[in-house]
Amino acid sequence: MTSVHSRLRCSTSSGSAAHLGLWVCLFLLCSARVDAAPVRFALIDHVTSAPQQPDGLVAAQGDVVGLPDAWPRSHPGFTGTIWYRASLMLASAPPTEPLGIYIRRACTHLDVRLNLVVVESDNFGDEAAPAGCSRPRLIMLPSAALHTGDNVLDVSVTGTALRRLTSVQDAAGLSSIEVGDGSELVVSHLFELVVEPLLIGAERIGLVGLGFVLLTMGWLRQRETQYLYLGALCLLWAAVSLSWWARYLPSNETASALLQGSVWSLLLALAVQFSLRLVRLRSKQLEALLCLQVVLMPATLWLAGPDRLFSAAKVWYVLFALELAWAQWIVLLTTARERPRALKLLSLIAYLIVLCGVIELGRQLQYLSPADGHATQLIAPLLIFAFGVRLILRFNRSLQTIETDREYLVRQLQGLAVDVETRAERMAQERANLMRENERKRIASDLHDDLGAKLLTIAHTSDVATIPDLAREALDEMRLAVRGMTGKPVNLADALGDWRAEIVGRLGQAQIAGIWEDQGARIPHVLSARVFMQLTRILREAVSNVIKHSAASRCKVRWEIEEGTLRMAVRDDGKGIGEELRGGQGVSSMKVRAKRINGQCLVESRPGHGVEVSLTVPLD
Amino acid sequence: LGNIVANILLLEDLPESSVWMKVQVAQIFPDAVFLEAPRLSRALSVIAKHRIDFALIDLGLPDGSGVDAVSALRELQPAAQAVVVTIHDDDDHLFPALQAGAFGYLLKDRAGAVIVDQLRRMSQGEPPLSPAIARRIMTHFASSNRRSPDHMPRVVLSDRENEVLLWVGKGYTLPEIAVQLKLSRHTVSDYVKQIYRKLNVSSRAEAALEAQRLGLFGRTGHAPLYAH
Repeated sequence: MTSVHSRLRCSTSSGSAAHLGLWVCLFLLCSARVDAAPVRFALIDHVTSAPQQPDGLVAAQGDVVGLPDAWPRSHPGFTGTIWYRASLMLASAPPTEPLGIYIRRACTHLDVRLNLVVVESDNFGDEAAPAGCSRPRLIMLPSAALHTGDNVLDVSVTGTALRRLTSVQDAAGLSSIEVGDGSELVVSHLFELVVEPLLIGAERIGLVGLGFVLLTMGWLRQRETQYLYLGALCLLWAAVSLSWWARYLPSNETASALLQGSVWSLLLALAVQFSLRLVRLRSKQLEALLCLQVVLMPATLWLAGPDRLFSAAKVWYVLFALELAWAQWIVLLTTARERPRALKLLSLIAYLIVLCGVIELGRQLQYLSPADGHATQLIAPLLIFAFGVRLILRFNRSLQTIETDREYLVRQLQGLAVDVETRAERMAQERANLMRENERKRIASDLHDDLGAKLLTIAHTSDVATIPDLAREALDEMRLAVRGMTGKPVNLADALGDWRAEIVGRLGQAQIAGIWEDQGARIPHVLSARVFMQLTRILREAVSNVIKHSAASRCKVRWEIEEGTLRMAVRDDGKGIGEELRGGQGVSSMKVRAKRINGQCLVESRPGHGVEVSLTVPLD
Repeated sequence: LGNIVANILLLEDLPESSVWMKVQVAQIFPDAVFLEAPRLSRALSVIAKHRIDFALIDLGLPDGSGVDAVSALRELQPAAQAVVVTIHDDDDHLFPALQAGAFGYLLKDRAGAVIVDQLRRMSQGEPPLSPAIARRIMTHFASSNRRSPDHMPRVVLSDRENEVLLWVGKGYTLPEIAVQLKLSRHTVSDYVKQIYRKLNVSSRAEAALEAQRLGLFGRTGHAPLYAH
């Protein structure tokens, strides 16, 4: 136990760094309470109290006052130290379990003595270190200092008059004091002693983290300033709450008050700006006014002087509350107009914000006691949190939208690229085709103009009977060659039409009745340019032979398509040819041409029974 | 035309061919007056100055295409019959001339007898029409009607005209078609003449439409259309 005591000593003297040690000790105490010790518990709500004179003396006999004692009521305008004395009566010997006292609020500096032995002191050296008023204290009473019978508990509180402060939270005073078993006290005030600091600490850490995240996001998206405002709000709030809990504020009370005041005006400016930016409202004048206010508020406080700080601050607080309410009203109006779906949630949030503001205002105007609505300190950061999380979610959603859009665009672009590629390919192909076509036309035109003209002149001027015919045949051959140059496939039906017109016409001019049969015209086949040319030549040769040599009166040309084979038969009723002509040049050239297109050409004849030229060609 | 004195324009750059052609033509039109032009420019000025009943126009000329002479003739003397005389038998060469208003075509290198026969038929109002040209005309009408806007009056071939084209495309001669369709040769020839005329009108309408599309004329500036 002695070691615990010494640790307590240590903790009380070395501030927040040792707090953890204290809490660990208290928990050790709780868990060490193996044998159920009797619970001793007492509430000190009346003490004798006397102010300490400037020379350090305290009147031996003070007035009896009730606790809690709020100086603004009991000692308005007093700045200094007041001593409170209570007596603890121990009926039996000091218990082995250490006793403790619990003080909910002692503002701003506390000094505790048991039987004139200092057990807790905020005052180190000459300089009074400002302490957090809201910090609850659990002070262990060393067993050695206790004795059976009457024990004297002296509590001194050093504080500042409210009029010299800017916040009622810092108003001096002492709450009631609970005395009892140390571990029992810890258990009964677990929330104030452990949970609340932990919550506020967690909140503060969360706010700092969120603040940095929001600031980063704001930096990334500089057009959306609401991130910056909320981020700054988070960090500033965390800093403010840190100052409430810090043991060390600026030693000069006025400077500290001024600082706090300006921080409040800055917080308000950020909150208003954020609210308006959230619904995409912006006003240069308003921004200028808010900036002016941030400067003006500490200035007016300074001008008011140390003794009228609080009165001046109160006016500002009312103004702040009005501004906050106005901003929320504007937000609600805009939301109702533009996004009615989000109205419910935003009205709830706005209501909570205004409620916090009103409670805070009530505390400052002393309609509510400083302890009332303590939860606003928890709720306000939670609201900021909610906004922050919402903003981050929205940011994330817009990122996802951008990502989806980007993917869509990439897909579109890829599609376009493929499209452009195929188009370019097709255009190149078309260009190549066009060039080929132009080249072909040029060659065809050259052939016609030069060779054709010469052949024509021969045909038109020659007196020798066979020469014009030969020239015409050469011209026909030339035309066929030009046509073949395209390399374009020919529909079988079209080819049959062309052949029919030519052959029937020629036979007619030779006074031979031409009979043409082609059921093949109904069958959609395509001939390659090469096959078309060779077929044309074979057909022409066969018919020329009929016209020149057969002396026939009828000639029948029949076309058939069977199982992928094209069959042609040219039959006349002329005089026929003998064996000796069958190997003639015309006949052999037909056979050679047929072979070139994988076909077969047969010439059959019996004298007096005409000739039949039959050709079979596979169609691919 | 018959045997009345006719003014015949002969646009031919080869002197031998020109002489030979005159011999053939004279067999049909013994009293014909020949207005000879070895160049396109000369032919155009002849067209501008003289009445022409019949024109034999070579397509490949040193200073241009005979198609321009056909167009000029169609424009200035619609009553004149223009016949293209060429050694190009392919429809790529012939079709533009037919669109420009040529009434038919002759292949220069054909035997004199054939040429005379064809000239006689043409003089009797029976223009020649090859299967390839017939198919090309069918394609032209099919696609031009697909292309032309709905509010424009269309040049459409009648069923009979289409039927004639179909048969010609299969290689049937006009007399054969007359037998097939149980019509007189004269009627079939009339259909062919009508087809040529509609081809010309439709092509001019298309050209006007194309010009309008390119902004060459105002909206009302299209050529009068031939409606069936």
